[in-house]
Amino acid sequence: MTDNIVKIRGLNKTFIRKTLITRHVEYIYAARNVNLDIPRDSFYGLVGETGSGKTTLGKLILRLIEPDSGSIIFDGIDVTRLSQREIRRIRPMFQVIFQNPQSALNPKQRVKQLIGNPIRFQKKLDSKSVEKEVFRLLDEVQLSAEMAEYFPHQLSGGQIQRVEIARALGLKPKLLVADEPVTSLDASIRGHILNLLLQLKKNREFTVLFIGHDLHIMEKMCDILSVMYKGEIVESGSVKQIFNAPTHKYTKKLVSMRYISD
Amino acid sequence: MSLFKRKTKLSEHTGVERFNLKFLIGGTGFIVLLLIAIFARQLAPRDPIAKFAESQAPSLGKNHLYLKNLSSEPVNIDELRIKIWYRGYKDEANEIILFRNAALQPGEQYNQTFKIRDIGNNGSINVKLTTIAGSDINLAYRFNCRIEDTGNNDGLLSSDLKMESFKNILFIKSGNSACEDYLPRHVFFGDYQGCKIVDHLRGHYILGTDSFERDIISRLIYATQPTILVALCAMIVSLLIGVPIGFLSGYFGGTTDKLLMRVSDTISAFPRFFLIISIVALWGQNILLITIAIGITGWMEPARFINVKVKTLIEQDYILSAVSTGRIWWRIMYHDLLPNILPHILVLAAYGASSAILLESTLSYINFGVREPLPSWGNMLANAFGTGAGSTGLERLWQVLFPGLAISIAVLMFNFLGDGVQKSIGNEDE
Amino acid sequence: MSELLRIEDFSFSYRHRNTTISILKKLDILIFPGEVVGLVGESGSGKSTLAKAILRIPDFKYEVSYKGSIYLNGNDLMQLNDTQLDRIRGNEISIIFQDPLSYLNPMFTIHRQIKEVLKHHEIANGIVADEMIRRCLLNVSFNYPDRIMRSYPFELSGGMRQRIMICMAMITRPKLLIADEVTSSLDALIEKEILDNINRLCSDYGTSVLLISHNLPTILKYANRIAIIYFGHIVEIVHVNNAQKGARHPYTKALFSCALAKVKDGVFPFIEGSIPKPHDVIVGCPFHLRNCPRAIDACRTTLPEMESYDEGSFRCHNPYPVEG
Ligand SMILES: Nc1ncnc2c1ncn2[C@@H]1O[C@H](COP(=O)(O)OP(=O)(O)OP(=O)(O)O)[C@@H](O)[C@H]1O
Ligand SMILES: Nc1ncnc2c1ncn2[C@@H]1O[C@H](COP(=O)(O)OP(=O)(O)OP(=O)(O)O)[C@@H](O)[C@H]1O
Ligand code: SF4
Ligand SMILES: [Mg+2]
Ligand SMILES: [Mg+2]
Repeated sequence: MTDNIVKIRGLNKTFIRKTLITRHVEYIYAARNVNLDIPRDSFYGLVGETGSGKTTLGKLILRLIEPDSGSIIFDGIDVTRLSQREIRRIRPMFQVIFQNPQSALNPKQRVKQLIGNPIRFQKKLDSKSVEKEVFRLLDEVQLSAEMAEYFPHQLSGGQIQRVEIARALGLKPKLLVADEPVTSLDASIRGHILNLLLQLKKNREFTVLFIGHDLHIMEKMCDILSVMYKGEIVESGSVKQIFNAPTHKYTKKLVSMRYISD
Repeated sequence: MSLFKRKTKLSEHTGVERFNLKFLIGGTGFIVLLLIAIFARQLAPRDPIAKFAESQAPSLGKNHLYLKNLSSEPVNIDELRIKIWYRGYKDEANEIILFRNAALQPGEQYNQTFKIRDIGNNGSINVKLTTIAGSDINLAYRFNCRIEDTGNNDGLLSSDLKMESFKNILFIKSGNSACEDYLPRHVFFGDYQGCKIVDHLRGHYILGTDSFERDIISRLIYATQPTILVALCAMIVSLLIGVPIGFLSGYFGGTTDKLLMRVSDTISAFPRFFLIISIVALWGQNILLITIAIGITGWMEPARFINVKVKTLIEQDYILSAVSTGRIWWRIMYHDLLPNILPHILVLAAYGASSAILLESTLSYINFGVREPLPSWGNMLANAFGTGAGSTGLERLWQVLFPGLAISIAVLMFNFLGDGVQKSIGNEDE
Repeated sequence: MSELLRIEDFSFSYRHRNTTISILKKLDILIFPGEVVGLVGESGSGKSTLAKAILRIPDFKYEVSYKGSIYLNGNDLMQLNDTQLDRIRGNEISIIFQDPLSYLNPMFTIHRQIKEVLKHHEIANGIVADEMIRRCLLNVSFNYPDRIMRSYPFELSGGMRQRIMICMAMITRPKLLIADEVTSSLDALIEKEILDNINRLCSDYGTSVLLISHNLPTILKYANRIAIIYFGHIVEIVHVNNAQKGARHPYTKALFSCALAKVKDGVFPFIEGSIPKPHDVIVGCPFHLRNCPRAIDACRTTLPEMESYDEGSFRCHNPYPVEG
């Protein structure tokens, strides 16, 4: 597999945080010399402990935050070199589903606006066809059409996550970054979302970067897995390889944990 | 079967989910103030500027006219007629010609009793005295009693002195009043020159007159106009400046943010009052300039607030997801940020208006704002201490009391409005 | 064996815009000394509300009402006034919440905050207290307790803060510890560390635990008995050995099959629909709305009563039969 949709080379990102009272400066290495290749149309998993920089890496790929150094080549284009105007044009190609359903949707917009607005602004369609598209997307993520009129606070966590997915899919992305889409959901709804993602993946052609820390789920969802530890990619390979022969100490611990809880 | 309850329409746009008491009181107060300002002309019993003597209206039925020549020369009057105006239309049929070709010797007094027919309205009647007056006698501000020039130029009232002399010789007295000459200022205090309080009350001076013999209630009512105007316009001006600055600096951060916030900090370092007075001193003193001065010295607080609000909002994932759909920045501001900030802007507007009212009153108090003889609550306060003010403490208090109350109530109403909206935002966040 | 805590016919509701919204409905739970009882359920089912209601921690902005009784060693907590309850809070019953930062005062050092607890309950003072704190911090696997004691909450990571909370809760050697989703924001390794700590301390001190979580594998690992809550009802109480195979209630079965994420034919298991909102009025068993596989006609009309059998109790018209 030589066709990589995302190629990351030597990516660095450091946050500088000053503590309030002591003015003590703290460096947080959220990404340290990250190299990553995501093959086209794969289901790529990224695991790591809390605060290891998974979300940060996702945001860097989407260029929602600026890297300190390094390059991200998306589909042959170096994303880090693009100006704001150019990046805006290619943004619809990579979409994201956020970790926290509470803050993921604008509380002042109805579901139909949430899903429809990106399509309308991006594709410059008239409102009739946007509406049709919204209903089609709602159907695709298995939500009823009457939900189009609801506000986010009237939806449950699982429904919010599905609206998120619909919103992201509306722009027909090539890469979907799913940042822990099920971590904050409870078990009974989790299956819905995971099934939905798997099913969508089957029907459409796009790459998924799936961020998470639950190995059970990762094992079943992903083709390839990378392990992140303190801002570094410490290990990557196919799921089988990582589960059967972990090399890094964190991975080993993680994999051994999996058998305990089983 | 819908398991979900819909919110009301209003709540969607303003975020005001539940009407709380403060919001209700504040809102009602604001609407009442606004209505008073709009309908001040209709509500005020008489002209706020006209002094007592000028505004004595002839009443239906019997009226007395006293005409006395106070000058040292004889006065010839070609014609003196009373024209009745009813709600802006001249009532030709009811014109009364008092006399023609009369001469008044110095010191001579002419007494005439005349009747005004009931013309079937229960509103006020405008009576115009027509003389053979010469040049323009600008008494247009008179409310009930007007003098109209018939255009005949060789009359006696033809120099600058005219108005003065005319005033001196002309005195129409209400038919209902039993009083002689001028009436007292302060209705509720004492009886003056033998007049009973009841009589003055009947003459519509509900709250009495101020030190310049002007009707207090009318002035109070008229004063809502500059107050509301300044409050709303200044608030709008400061929001028009502050909100975009807050939005831009909050959204773009970095140098833009630092620069704009430094500027706002620098301006905030000066006392606001000093800035306003400087502006007024520089460019003159009219209501428009005062409004602008209050407005452009008040944008820092909204700007800072919006800045912080925007900064916290753009950390939210939903803004990031809007960014990730490739939406342009002004669209994100308008579509995604503004609806979330709108309720906070309402709160800022209410508090901004209340501080503008206070500032306007203070400015008028030191005669930097709305100037005499135009009424404003601030300069009404000042009148209590000016020349010709009442001599006793009670009399002064009487003049301070009502404008003071009016200022407090207006400020309170706006604060309530702000609190109310704030509270319902709180409810929503919960 | 006499029970430590007996929750009997307990209901909790609040008034909002002239309607009474009940969140907990006629709960019955027993907790024996030294036992770990897991409380599981979906988001919004009322787990946190129960945790707070036991100690009557006011959280709601609305007028709330409690019905029924909660006996701690035979005396009814609901009959106590606030000062009496204050002696129980943190002393005999401790509680740890999901978000530790909001319960730690950012202005004081850890040492001072823990000492405050000891002083408040008149357990120890001065050097004795310091020594107790040091030992307790060692117990929650801090290797350098002195450094921790000097630091402020914001200097610590989420996992560390959570351990501080445990230390604070356990230093009074309570009879009951309520742990409300203490690890849901943390990853598997830290979760294990924290729960191991709790487990060790509780078995040392003989403390019972009410362990609240929606992470079932965790509950299965640490709890002795599991109570399943759905829409404010306890639908089943089951022994942990029995939980996966021998659960009688359809909801329990469904929940467990989801939680363990066992993929069948490439499909993750899930329960259709979502939990009703507290203000919904539901006739019959609330689970029939979500396509209960064993629903019968009676389920649509009447709410089933709690039934006991020798290994637990459940609330269902048509339970799964006992296996074997
Ligand atoms: N804007 C920021 N400013 C300062 N520090 C930040 C910022 N964003 C993230 N960090 C820090 O960077 C580190 C990595 O954060 P990140 O959110 O990427 O972790 P994560 O792997 O997604 O963790 P989780 O599993 O909890 O989501 C954390 O220590 C975090 O505190
Ligand atoms: N302060 C409050 N005001 C109004 N309703 C509340 C409040 N707190 C909780 N509720 C409602 O009570 C119900 C139970 O909430 P509770 O927090 O106990 O659920 P939970 O089982 O702890 O859920 P989670 O797993 O999300 O923590 C929810 O439906 C919630 O909407
Ligand atoms: S009572 Fe009926 S609907 Fe409810 S769980 Fe039992 S079988 Fe299902
Ligand atoms: Mg993250
Ligand atoms: Mg909870």
